[in-house]
Amino acid sequence: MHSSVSSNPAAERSDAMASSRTLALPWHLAAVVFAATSVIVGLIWDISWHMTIGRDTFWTPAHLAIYTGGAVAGLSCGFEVLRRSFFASSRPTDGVTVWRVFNGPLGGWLAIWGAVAMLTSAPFDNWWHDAYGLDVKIISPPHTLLALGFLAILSGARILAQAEQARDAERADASGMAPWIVAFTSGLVLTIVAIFTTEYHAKIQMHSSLFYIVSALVFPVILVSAARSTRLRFPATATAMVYTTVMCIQVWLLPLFAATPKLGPIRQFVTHMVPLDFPLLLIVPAIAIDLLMRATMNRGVWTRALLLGVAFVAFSVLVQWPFGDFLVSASAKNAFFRADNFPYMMPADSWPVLGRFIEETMPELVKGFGIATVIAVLSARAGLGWGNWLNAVKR
Amino acid sequence: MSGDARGGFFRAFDRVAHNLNVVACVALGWIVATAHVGTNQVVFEGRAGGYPLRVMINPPGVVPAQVPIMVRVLEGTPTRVTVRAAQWNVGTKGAPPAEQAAVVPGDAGVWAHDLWIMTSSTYSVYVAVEGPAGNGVLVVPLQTSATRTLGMTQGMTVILVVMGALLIVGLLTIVGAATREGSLPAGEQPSVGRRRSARIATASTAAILGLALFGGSKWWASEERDYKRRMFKPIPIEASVKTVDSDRVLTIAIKDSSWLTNRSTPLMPDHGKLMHLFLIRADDQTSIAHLHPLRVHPDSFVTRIPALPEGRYLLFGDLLFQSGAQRTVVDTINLPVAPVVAGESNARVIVAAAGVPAFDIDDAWRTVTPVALGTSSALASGGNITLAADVSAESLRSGRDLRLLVTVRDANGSASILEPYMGMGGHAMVLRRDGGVFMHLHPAGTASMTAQAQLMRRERGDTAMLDSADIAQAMGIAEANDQSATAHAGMQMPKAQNAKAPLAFPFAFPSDGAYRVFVQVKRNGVVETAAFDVMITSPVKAAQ
Repeated sequence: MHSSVSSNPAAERSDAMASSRTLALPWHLAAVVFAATSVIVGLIWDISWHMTIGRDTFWTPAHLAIYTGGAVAGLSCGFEVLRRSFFASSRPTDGVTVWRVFNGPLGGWLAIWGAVAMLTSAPFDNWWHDAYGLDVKIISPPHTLLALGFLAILSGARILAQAEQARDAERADASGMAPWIVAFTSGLVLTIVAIFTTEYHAKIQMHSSLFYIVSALVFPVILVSAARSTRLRFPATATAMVYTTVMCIQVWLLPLFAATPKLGPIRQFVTHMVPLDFPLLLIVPAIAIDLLMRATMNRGVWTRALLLGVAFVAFSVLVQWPFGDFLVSASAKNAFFRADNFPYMMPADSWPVLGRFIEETMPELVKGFGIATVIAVLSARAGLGWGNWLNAVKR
Repeated sequence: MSGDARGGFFRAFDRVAHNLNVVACVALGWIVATAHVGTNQVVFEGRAGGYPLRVMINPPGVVPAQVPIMVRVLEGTPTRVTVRAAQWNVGTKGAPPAEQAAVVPGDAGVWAHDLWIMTSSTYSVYVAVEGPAGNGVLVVPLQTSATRTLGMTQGMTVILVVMGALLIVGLLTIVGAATREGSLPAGEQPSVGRRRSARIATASTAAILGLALFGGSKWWASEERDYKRRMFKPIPIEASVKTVDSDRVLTIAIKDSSWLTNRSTPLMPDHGKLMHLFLIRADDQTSIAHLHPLRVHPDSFVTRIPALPEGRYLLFGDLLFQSGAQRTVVDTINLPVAPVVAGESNARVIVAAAGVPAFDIDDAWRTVTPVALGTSSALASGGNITLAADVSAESLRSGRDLRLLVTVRDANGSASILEPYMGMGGHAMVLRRDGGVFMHLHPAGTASMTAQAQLMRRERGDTAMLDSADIAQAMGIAEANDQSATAHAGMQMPKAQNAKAPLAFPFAFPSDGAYRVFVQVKRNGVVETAAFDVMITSPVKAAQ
C-alpha cells in the first residue's frame, strides 16, 4: 500500500499521504479495516463456539481472531501516531492533535481507544470469572467494556474510511474505492449492532412489537447516516448488503465444520458448528431509505426524519413479519436458512424449538408499533445529524 | 506421595482449602453450609473394574467453574483414566463426552483432570479406568454450589483504576479533538468558535459518561446481589426443646420456602433413616448423640433427647434428597436439665398429636474423653479403640487425601469383631472445633452411597420420584444386602465394610484448624463412641 511515488503535493497531506499513490490507501486504513473484519469474524465464530461447543480457553481460534483485531488496530494506529508525532519531516497538518504532542487520524485515535478498552477488559474479565464464576450471562460489565472496544475499532475504521473518502473527493484521479470502504465499514458497524441486539431479534419475536422497537432504535441511525455520508448511488442498501452478506456467509459456512458440545447439560443433538440466525431483511427498508433520501433532498430535516422513520418501520414489518412465519416453519430448516440453529443447551420444549411466537394483543401491537415509529423517527433524525457530521470529517 | 513431591493440583487444592478456611464463619460456622457443613469436598473410595480407587473432588466455591478431579489408583497401573460429569436430571444422555485424565507429574498413580461444571446441582462423576486388571467405572456423587465471593486485590484495583482513568480521559480527549479539528480541511487551524464547541462537547460527554459510569456501578452492584442470591444458603430451621411427660423432646421445623412449597425433590432415607441428627455439646465437645428423628409432619422432625448433660449443643441434621443432594441443617439448642416446664408452642401440638416417639433402635449417645489421633481410647464395655491416619505426620495437612484407620480391640487384646451399624462398618463425624466444618463419613468416604445408588438408578432409566416407603424398599434393602454393586454392568459400588478388612474412612481435612473426629462402631450389639483430636496446619513452605 505504501509507495514512494510522490503525487499531489498541493493537497497538504502528511508525509505518508504525500508519498502515496492516489490509487493506494493509507496503510493504517487498510490495517484497521482488516482489524475490524477480524473482530467481526472472531465475534461470530466465538458466539457460534459457545452455541456449539460451550467450553473455551484463552486460545480458541475465535478468541485469537478477536485479539488479532485489537492488536492490529492498536499497534498500527499507535505506530502511525508515533510516526507522525515524532518522526515526520514536517509537522503533519491533516490529523487531530491530542495532548498538544500527539498527532493522528481521528479514526486512528478511536481504534487505539478500542484496543486499550479491549486490553483493560482482559484482567477485569479474568477477575470477574474468579469472583462470580465462568460466564452464565454474556452481557457482564467486563464484556460490555470489551464490546465498547469492538465498537470503537469498527467506528475508527468507519471514520478513517470517511476521511479517505473526503480526501478522494478532492482528487481528480481518485480510485473511487473509498466510498466502497465506507460502505463496508458501515456494514460492519451494522453487523456488530445487529449481533449485540440478537436477544431482541429472535425468530419467535418477529410478531411482537419489542422486535420492531429495538430495530427502530438501532438500525435507522446507522442506515440513514450511511445514506447521508457515503458517496454511492445506493449507500444504505450497500451497507445493509454488507451485513446480509457477512451473516449469510456464516450461516452457510459454519455448519460445514463438525463439532460437538463439551459442556453439559446437552439438550440438542449438535454435530456441526451452529451458526447465528439468518440475517434480518434490513435490505428492504435500506432500499426504501435510499430512495426516500433522494426524493426528499429539498425537504426539512424533520420532515425527512419523519418519512424515513415511518418507512423504516413500515417496510420492516411488511417483510419481517411474514418472514418470521417462514423461519419457524419446516421449510426454513435447511442448509440455506438454517432456522434449526438451536444451541446445544436449548431444551426441546422451549419456545424457539417449538417455533412458538411471542404474541401480543392487537392494542398492544398498535401501541408498540406507535412507539417503534416515534423511536424510528428520532433514530433517523439522529442518523441525519450523525451523517452530516461524518460527511464533514476530513481528518 | 511424599511431602515435597507435590503437583500443581495439590498446590491449587491447598489454595482453595485456604479460601474455604477464610470464608468459614468462625463465630458460629453456620453461614457456609453445603453437602456437609463448610465444604463440598468429596473423598470417595470404590472399585472401577480391577482397580481400587480413591477419588477426591474439590469444587472451588464458585459456579460455573472448572472442578479439579483427582483419582488415586490404590493398586495396579491402569493405562487410561477418564472422567465425566452428568447432571442428575439429564444423566449421561445430556453429558459432554468423557475426558482423559493425566498422571500428576511426580506422583505416579494419581490422575487428575478439571471438569467444567456450569450449574449448582448434583452430578454423577463417572471415573472410568482401563487397564490389564480389567476396565470399569466408578460413580461418585458430587454437589456444586457457590459458597464464596472474592474481593479485589489491591494490584487489580490499581490496574483497573489506572486503565479506567486512561480510557475516560482518552475518550473525552478524542471527542474534544473530533469536534475541534475533525471536519477541518488539512492545514487549517481551529477557530475560537470551534475550540468553544469542543469544550462544550467534552463537558457534555463527561456528563453522559458520568451517568453511564453511575449506571454501570449500579449494574455491577445488582450483578453482585444476583450472585449472592444464587449462593448456597443453609436450609433454615427452627429447633426447639420442650418437655413432654418428663422427657426432653426436640422438634426441628423446616422453614425453607422451596421446601414448604414442594419445589425441592422429595427426601429419601439414607441407611434407612430420613434424618441423621448429631448433637454435640458446644463448650467441651465431649457429649455427642447420633439420633434419627421421626418425620411427624412434612416439615417437622421430632426426637426424644437422651440422657445428655445440660448445656448449649451444636445441631447438625443430615438430609438426602432424591436428586442425590445431601444437605445438612444446622442450629444450636439449649438443653435444659430435665425436666423443665413445657411452653406453649406448635411443637407441643405436633408432639401431642404424634405422641412422643420412642428412641430409634440405632440411636446412640455418649460423653467421651477425647484422645489424640493415633492413640487408643478405652471403651466403656472393655477393650479399646484407636484411630490413626495412614500418612506420615508431615503429610497430615489440609487437602491431603488419606485413610483414617480404626482398630478396635477386646479387653483380652484380640481384634474385635464389628457388626454393621446401619449397614456400615462404622460412622465417623468430623468437627472442626470452631464449628466451621462438619462432615459425616462412611467407609466409602464423604459422599452418600444411597445418593450414588439413586444416581445410578436414574441413569438406568428409572427416573420416578418414589415416596418414602417405596424408596426405603428400593434403596435401603438393596444397600443393606449390598445388591446395588452388581446392579449395573461395569459399575461397581463400594461394598459395606467387610468384617475381615480393617475399618477405614477415606478423607481429606478440608482446611487448617483443630479437629475432633468422633467414631462410632458396633460391637456385641452395643454402639461404642470415641473421640480423637488432631491439629491440621499448613505445610511449611520448603526453602528454595
